[in-house]
Amino acid sequence: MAERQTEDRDDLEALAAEYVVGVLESGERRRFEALVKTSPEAAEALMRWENRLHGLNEGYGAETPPPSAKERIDERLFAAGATSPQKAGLWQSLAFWRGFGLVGTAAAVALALWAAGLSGEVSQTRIAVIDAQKATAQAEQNLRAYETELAARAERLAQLEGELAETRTGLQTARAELAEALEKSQPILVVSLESGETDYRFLAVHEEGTGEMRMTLVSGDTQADKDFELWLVEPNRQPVSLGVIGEGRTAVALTPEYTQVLEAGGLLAVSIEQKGGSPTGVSQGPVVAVGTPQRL
Amino acid sequence: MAQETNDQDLHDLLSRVALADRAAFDGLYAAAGAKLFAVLTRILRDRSMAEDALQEVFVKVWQKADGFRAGSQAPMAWLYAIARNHAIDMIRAQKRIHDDLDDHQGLSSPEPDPEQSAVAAGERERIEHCLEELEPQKAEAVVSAYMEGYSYQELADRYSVPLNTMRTWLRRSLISLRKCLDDG
Repeated sequence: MAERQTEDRDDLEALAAEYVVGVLESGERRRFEALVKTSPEAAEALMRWENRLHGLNEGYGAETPPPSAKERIDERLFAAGATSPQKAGLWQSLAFWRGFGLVGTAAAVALALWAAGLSGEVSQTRIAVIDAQKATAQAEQNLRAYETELAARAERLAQLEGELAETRTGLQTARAELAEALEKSQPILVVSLESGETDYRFLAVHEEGTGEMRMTLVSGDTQADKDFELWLVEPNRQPVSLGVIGEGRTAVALTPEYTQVLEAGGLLAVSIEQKGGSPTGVSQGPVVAVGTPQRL
Repeated sequence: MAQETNDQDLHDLLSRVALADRAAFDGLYAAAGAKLFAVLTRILRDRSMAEDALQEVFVKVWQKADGFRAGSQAPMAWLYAIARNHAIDMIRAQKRIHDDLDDHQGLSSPEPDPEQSAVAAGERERIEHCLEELEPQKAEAVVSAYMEGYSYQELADRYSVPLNTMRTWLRRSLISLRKCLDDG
């Protein structure tokens, strides 16, 4: 294992070097950037290479830009009513969503359930059983998938290693919990929505057959003149608004069609929108939390 | 730009920019604007594109200044990375259009920079020393990729070697370079 870890680290170093030198194609660049967001090792490898090759930057010399350039920057940043740059393109980028998806581990869901105080609402034992069963199955499945992929995909080794370690830990915990739990129960879909970049964290719980989903704001502050809007995201489709979410707990109605999308692995995302939600049906504000559904 | 702004000054400016200090932003632009503009014109090879890019780069600097990790990185290294990444992303997006147009026009060959800075910093000397330990052609491939933003495919075309050969070349060169730079 030590040897493999060394190999993984070398691959990560090589990838960071290729990124900094600038030889990667767009897709590879996006994938590495997503990796940097979720892996501190990758972020450090990147910075080390930027520092190592910094000596070359002097070769660029200097070229005075026209005075109008600074005026245009100031106008863009500081003119009254200036808005932040449009981020719509991100919605279409699979790499972007994958980057967020890495956050939603079984452990995160369990923690979020606990933080939201939902254990009182859904029977405590049941939560424990379904969480443990789901986490075990998920972890075992992930473990196999990651191990297969590890062998096949040298470039992604470093990224997968992090997930693998997380999965193994999750698997141990889940097995221990499962040994204690006995009760059976019906399926629940849980989505922990978060991002590495904001404090916002939401938890969505959907019990099958209810046509409803409960959204809870677990952490992060509300803004007086803004609303949170919940989106259902499918690859290669325009995200669909599921409505505005208030403070505390909000019940969100789910059509059978949306339930299907969610159960098939569709993502949930929360953006900050003007009061009452985006008037256009397309997200206009920043995305502050994202999560993948986990069936418990 | 008569005087070089040193790392400490730049660091102070960046910290203040992170707190949305406009005067510090002006100072940062005065200190780094021409250097980053040089990066953008070199990689993009189009002045008006470079002007647009400069705008985007400084908007990013304003928005991301609080993400700068002092102590791990020189402020200029951070700023250069933002400019280079932006320019590289732009030419990658553009290249696709060229491919669609079946544009096989040759790339102009890299020219040595005649305006080498009079005072060669230690960092520059060190990397040059380490580059000298590589075969000349491979060192040139690394430097031209870094300076011009060539992709693996473009490098392979320029040196008339298969794509995988170029990958192997460059990866090996970078490993040697890393050893030399980290040991020195």
